[in-house]
Amino acid sequence: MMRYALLFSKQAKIRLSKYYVPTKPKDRTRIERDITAAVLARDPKACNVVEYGEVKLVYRRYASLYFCLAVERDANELATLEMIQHYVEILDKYFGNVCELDLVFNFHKAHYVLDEVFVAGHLQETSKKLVARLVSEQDALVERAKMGGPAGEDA
Amino acid sequence: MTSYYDRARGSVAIGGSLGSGDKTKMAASRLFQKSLRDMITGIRAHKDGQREFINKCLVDVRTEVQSSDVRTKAVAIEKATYLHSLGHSMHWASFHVVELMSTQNVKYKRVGYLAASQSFGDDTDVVLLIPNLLKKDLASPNPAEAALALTCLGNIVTPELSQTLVADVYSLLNNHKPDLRRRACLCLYKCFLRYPEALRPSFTRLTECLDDDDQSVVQAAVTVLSELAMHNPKTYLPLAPKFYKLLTSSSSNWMTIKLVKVFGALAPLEPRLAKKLAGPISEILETTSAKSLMYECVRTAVMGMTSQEKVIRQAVDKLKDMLEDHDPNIKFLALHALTYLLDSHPRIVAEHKGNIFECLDHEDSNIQYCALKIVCGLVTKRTLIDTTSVLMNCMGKADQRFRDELVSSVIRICMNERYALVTDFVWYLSVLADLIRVPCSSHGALIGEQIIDVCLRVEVIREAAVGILAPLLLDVSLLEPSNVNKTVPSALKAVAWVVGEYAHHIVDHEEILDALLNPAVKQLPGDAQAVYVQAIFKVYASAVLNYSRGIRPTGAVGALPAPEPLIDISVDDDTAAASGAARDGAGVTPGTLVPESEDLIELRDKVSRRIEPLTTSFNLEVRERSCQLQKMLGIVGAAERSEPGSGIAIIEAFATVMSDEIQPVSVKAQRKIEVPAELLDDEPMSAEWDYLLVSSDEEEDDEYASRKGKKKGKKSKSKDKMSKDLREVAEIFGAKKTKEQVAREERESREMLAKHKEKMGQYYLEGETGADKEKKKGPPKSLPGPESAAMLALEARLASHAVGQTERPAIKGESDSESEEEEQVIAVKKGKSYDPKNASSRLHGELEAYNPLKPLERNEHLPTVEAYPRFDPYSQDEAAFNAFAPSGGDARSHHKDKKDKKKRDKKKKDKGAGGEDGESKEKKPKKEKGAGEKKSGGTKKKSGEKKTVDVDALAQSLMDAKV
Repeated sequence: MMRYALLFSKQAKIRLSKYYVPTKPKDRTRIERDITAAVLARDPKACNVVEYGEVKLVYRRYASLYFCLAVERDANELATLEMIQHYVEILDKYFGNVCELDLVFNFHKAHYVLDEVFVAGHLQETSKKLVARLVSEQDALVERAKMGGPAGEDA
Repeated sequence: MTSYYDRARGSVAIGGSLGSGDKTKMAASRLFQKSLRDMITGIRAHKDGQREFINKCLVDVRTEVQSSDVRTKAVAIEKATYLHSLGHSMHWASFHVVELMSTQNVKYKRVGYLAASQSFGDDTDVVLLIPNLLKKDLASPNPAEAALALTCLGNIVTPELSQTLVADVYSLLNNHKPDLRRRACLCLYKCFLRYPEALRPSFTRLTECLDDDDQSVVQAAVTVLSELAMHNPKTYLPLAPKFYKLLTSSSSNWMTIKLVKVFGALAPLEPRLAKKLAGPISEILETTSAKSLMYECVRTAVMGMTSQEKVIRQAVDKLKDMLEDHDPNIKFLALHALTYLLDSHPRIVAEHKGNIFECLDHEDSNIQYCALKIVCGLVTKRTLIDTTSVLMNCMGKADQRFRDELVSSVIRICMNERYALVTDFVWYLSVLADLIRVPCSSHGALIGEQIIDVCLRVEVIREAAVGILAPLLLDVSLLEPSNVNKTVPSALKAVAWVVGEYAHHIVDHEEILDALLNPAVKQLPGDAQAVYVQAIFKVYASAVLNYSRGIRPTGAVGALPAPEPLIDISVDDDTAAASGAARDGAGVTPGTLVPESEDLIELRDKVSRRIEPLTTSFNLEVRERSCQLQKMLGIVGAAERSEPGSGIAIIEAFATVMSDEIQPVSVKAQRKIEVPAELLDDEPMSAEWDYLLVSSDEEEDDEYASRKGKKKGKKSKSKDKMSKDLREVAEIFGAKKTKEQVAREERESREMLAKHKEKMGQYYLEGETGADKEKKKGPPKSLPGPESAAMLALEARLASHAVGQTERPAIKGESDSESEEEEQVIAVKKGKSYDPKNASSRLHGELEAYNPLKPLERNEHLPTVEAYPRFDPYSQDEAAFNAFAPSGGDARSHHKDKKDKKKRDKKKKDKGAGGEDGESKEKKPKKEKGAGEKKSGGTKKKSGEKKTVDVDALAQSLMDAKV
């Protein structure tokens, strides 16, 4: 099971964080600080696994963004890397050539996509096409709701 | 960058123009509200005053969130969620989040759910308000709402929420939409973790999900069950046939990985399973191109199927390729997998030694550490020297942390299991001597312990030891107090002790004395200096002895450590000898006196001159020892002047005493000494002591004072009287006292103690209370008296190490250690069976008590809503919140009958078929999806190579779009 997912920039700015286990705000700050420091300090040629306390961090860098998942010690590292890749590819498809700014300004959308890919810390959908469809379906639903919702005077 | 600003401005303009519609108040609130994008742009623009800007935003958001306009509220919550992700608490908004969650508009609901899953925790109080809300959404005919609720519940579930809602989640397992079934499966797992009682009733249905038509649901069920099985494999062994069937028919790599992994945990428990698995695993190893799946198979093979030589062979072949891979991840994982084989197949691992040694120099520390672990595990008697030299060579290139690790590994390899691997202790000592010179090491103390231990126990190497270690004393650079030498002093301390203790092996005494008297020694810590002073005297004494023995024609010539005593003293009685020799030693055997030579006079002068600075040391031990030494040399000088040769005789007497060998003593040595018959354990330690305890109570002070007079000097008394006294003591200590009373008593008892000390002074030892004196009676004759507190500690520590091996040089203390053997803690190696050490085993701790395969008890059902107080925060305040009041009735009626699940499921299906117009549409994509899933499973195998290309392309595109 995944404990938490973090997205952060080269400047150690958190772009997205999701906790799948109850974590106190104080611990969150500590975790985020520790992890960004630990991951950013690593050599680009080093392997993408860091042991951090009782979890294992598996991270991957895309341009200036680091995608980092905290998994159990006995999790399969390569499969976790593939999970990251899976999520990034879906993001890429959703935003169309995703870049860091997309995630900054649309952090909520990044969350919605994340929720489609992972539920309760487990990969739930392995088909990229289906996730893309589900997300767009949801967006369409929201659009419809905008039109006809009880408070939808926007349109 | 500019484009974002433009877009942001545009959105404000649109929002503004749209908002100025009908209701002026709402319009105004919208008009002046910053959009999310606006705020983010602002935060990014205010590089300097970011904190103030954010604070301002927070203030704005707090007022906006109060708005009655749902859109304004939603934007405010969205902004608060963003700020939350930056580390600003949003607990003040939780109530408004709940409001948003309860709106009917999916758009705002989604915002609310996102905020909830991000910000709610176990301690959020409004969580008490949401069970009904979630319940309603879980049962919503709109799958999007149910999905939202499931996802959110998966993140924020608390034991109470789980207890209340697990039935609803469970019922979603029967939903017609595979998407929801899948989510419900995964969500259930989280519910089990927080509320283990829910596992057993839902388990049967969960296993049924393994046969679901939809592959993704099967996968979700496999995920949950394998996760459960990993932490409690024994209980889930009966699921093995089902898993096996899935393993042989699975087309999705993701799922195969999970299955292979769970078999890694199950196989060690059931020997037949490993045999059965050999086929499929070896087939996957042969055919798959996905590295992750291959690695999982390798891991399962090395962890759970050690009996299947053929598969192990195959797995190790794959590992060999992985070791040679350029990708550091693959390399690291290969090493990691090899560590599992260390215990069962060390030979197979040893075949890859070359590759593993190379990894010690890898730039990635993970790989280095892993390789080091394997190297340490592979060492044998034959390869010890080679391996150590490889490790020593690595130290030059390694960074500080790893170098430290290397130092401790080398020592651990050698000292492990009582030096089981070491055959040549001279070699080991030279290794230790080299290790002292490793810069910035933090293991000086350990090295010191090892040096002393080896020298004490292995008699034959002492001469070589002095030769190897003396150069370290001569090296002035080691004395410098710098970070590079931070733990060197504790090692030097041991070196000085060894050189001093075995001073008769020294070739050039003067050189060593010069080194020990080096002014830089003052920079060492006090405890090391103290040992130095002691060593100075021993070396000096040995120099004198050497000289006198060379001159004296009748004396024993050679380097025998224990010459015949020149003065008539018995070695056993050494304390008396030491003090007696100084006084009357000169007159006892006048015939054999050897006058002091010029060189020795010079040496003595030099020592007493250069010890001078130490006599003013702030460290008491150093000061005392150096003063003693100086005085002693003065006495020797005086004796020599009055009668040439008598001074030498004094030193010779000392040298004889000191040549008595220190033996390693077992920790349990004390136990082996028989209790002397005259030692009366039951007797009170002393009548005086009792009196002290009792008299501390002021009320009975007088009475006891008078009794004291009677008792004085009486040691034995009748038992009943004593027990009465004890009772009184207990009463006194049990009673509560005021502060003043306590203070007064303390003062009084202190006075009492002082008085007692005055009277019974001879029984008091330094720093010892009266209580100890009885126990100290009669020190065992076989144990030579320790020379100082440091020695005492040394002996105690030394005794804790024990050695055993026959073909090596004799090691002392072996007989002592025999009985210790059973208690010796041998490094616990990882056993063959699967042993999860991660924290989720803690999460699973409670779950294990619930064996899901045990049949349900009579009245054990899924917990129902009725177990939880029904509370709808909105039911009464409809006027205030009419905009988002839930349309409660429908949902509640839907859940009326909780006890009969099947009935309810049926009802639901009916409802789904009749009520929802999307149903016919939905069926198609379901089939489509199933096909798509299979296809994707098929293509996945190819995606191994493709993936890396994709990554590069993606990284490139990200790079192009860089900020």
